[in-house]
Amino acid sequence: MAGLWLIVALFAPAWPCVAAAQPMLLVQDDLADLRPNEVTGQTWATTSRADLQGQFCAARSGTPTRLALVSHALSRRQRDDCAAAKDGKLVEALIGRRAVIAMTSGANFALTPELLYRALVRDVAAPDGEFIANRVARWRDLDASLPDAPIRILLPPSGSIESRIVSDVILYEGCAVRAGAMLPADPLKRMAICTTLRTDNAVTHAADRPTVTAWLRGQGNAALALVGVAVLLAEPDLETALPLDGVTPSFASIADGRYRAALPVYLLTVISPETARTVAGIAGPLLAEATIGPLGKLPRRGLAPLAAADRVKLRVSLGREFENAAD
Amino acid sequence: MRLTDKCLAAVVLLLALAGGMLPAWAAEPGETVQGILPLADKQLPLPRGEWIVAGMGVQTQPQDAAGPFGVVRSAVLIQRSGDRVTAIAEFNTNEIALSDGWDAPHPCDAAAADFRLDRYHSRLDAACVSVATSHIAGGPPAWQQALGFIASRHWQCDETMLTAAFVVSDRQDFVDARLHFDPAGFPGQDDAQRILFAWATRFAPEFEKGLANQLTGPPFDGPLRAALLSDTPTLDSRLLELEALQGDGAISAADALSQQQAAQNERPRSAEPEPVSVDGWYYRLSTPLINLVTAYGVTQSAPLAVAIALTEHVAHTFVYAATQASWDRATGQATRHTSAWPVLIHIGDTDKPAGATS
Repeated sequence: MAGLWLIVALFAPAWPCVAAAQPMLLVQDDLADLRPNEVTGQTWATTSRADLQGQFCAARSGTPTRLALVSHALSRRQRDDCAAAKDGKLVEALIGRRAVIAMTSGANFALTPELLYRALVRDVAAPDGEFIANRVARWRDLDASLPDAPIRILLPPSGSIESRIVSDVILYEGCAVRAGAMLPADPLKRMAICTTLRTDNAVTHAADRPTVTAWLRGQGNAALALVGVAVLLAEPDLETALPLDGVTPSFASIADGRYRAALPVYLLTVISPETARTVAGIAGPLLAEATIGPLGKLPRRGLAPLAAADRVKLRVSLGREFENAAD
Repeated sequence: MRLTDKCLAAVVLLLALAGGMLPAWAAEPGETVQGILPLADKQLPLPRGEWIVAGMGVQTQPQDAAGPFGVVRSAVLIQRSGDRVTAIAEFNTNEIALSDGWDAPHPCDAAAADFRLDRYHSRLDAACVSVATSHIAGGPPAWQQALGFIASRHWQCDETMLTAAFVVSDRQDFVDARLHFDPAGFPGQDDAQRILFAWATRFAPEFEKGLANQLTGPPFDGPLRAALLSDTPTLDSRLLELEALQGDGAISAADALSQQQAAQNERPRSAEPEPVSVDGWYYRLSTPLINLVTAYGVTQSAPLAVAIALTEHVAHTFVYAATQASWDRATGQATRHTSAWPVLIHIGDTDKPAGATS
């Protein structure tokens, strides 16, 4: 029965072949805070995003088991190359998402990536096309419908995937909308202009704050904190989230892709008749409800869960893959 | 025994007697409560956070409405952020348990139709939930007391609130609760009511547990926070519990999987009758049509066939209506309860006189 493999693997003692050869388990550096080693009981090597897919696909064919946690889907070419090199079926399973949510201490107003870009970025485009220092101090200066209160924004810790979502998704999109025609053609320069943050008191980094709730309470009603799912779950007093582009953030709107300040988290693996059991033994605990469900371990570390039906479907479909491979 | 000893013993005896007559715990205005408010020997659930008791009282009943339930106890609690009241909890419940339930009319009938769920409704018990916008101008004595409490602290309270109303009753007791939320934190009107209703349908079973003093576990998140998190919390718990049972070896892997799939089909349902479906109309129309065709086949006369079919239909309808009416009358007599549903004043009821407070 499809899915049984995975469920049996979940609670089965370690398969003999797991101990026989060292599996290759890779986690992208900004996903390392998910701590998959604590779930599977095995060591996961932390690798940069740039190197991870290359390492995964270039692994020697003698490596029996390969699993990786990544935040980007493989391109078609990478997928073809990778699968051909591995003598098995490449499986790319979406296990959840990482997201950034704008929380306030009670005020409710609508945000867009463009508004956040104009509030956060160091240099903004002047009408003559020059980029000049951003001196906007109050929300009302950005839009008449916004609160007449100083801009105070708490950003996620540097180096976190939430920080990358702010840069790569929110700011880059807002920048393209606001200053598209004025941006340089060079992608690196464009990225720098779009994502370099201002350093005045409008912006604070989360690194040494006691709690987001305390910071918000101390900053007034219109202050906002850009937080990830881990912070949201850790601080039960956070309850007012601002919509982005008209979509109110929630586990449901993140899971169905309507809320766009998010990046996917994929489990990559290659399943062959020889490795099916080993991979199932490692993937089973990782895909269990107690791990990726809303009440599980990974949401408390920042993973926005899939919808319940999709979690069950994921376990069933991967179980079927293992079953078919073993047959 | 010396005189002082006798006095001391009398005081101790009086205190013990008084203690026996008082409820085990009676909240006082100004006290803070989290999770559960004990009132009239029941547990009343509160969403997560610190709630301040702002008003306590009783509601008197019209002479002809009174049953042997003693009084209806009322409590008003508030939740605040800074100097702003963000939520108000309003509870009414009977002091003395009945033995034969509460008579109609059922209070859920008056609720707005758009956001209402009649969880169940039988001769002996009922539970419903509804959501509406309400103005909090007038209200019962406990609310008048709460208004004074709020004013004395210079806190601000919006006059229009989003209200989730809950009614649950069984053979012995009832709880009538309304949770009013400041709309400021919610998105637009339609979304706000939808969000609150989705939350209220999940929160409603807590009142049923509280009626039986079976509230356990951590308090529910409020509607705004709950809307951020999973929209299937019951299903999530169920999936986790099934996985744990399978881990313990209590159920097989195959059973765990099939039950996880089956759990996805559980939905809160309304006890109200479904509107007549296409199938219902088919059966209603097919009988007269068959009668008409049969009559025509026998008589070979269209006017006669129509007359026969119509006569049969009218006679059938009359007999059915008469049977139904006598059945309703018989069951109505058999299920009548001696205690009428109490006449309650809620926050925002400006046209009803306020009863006494204690």
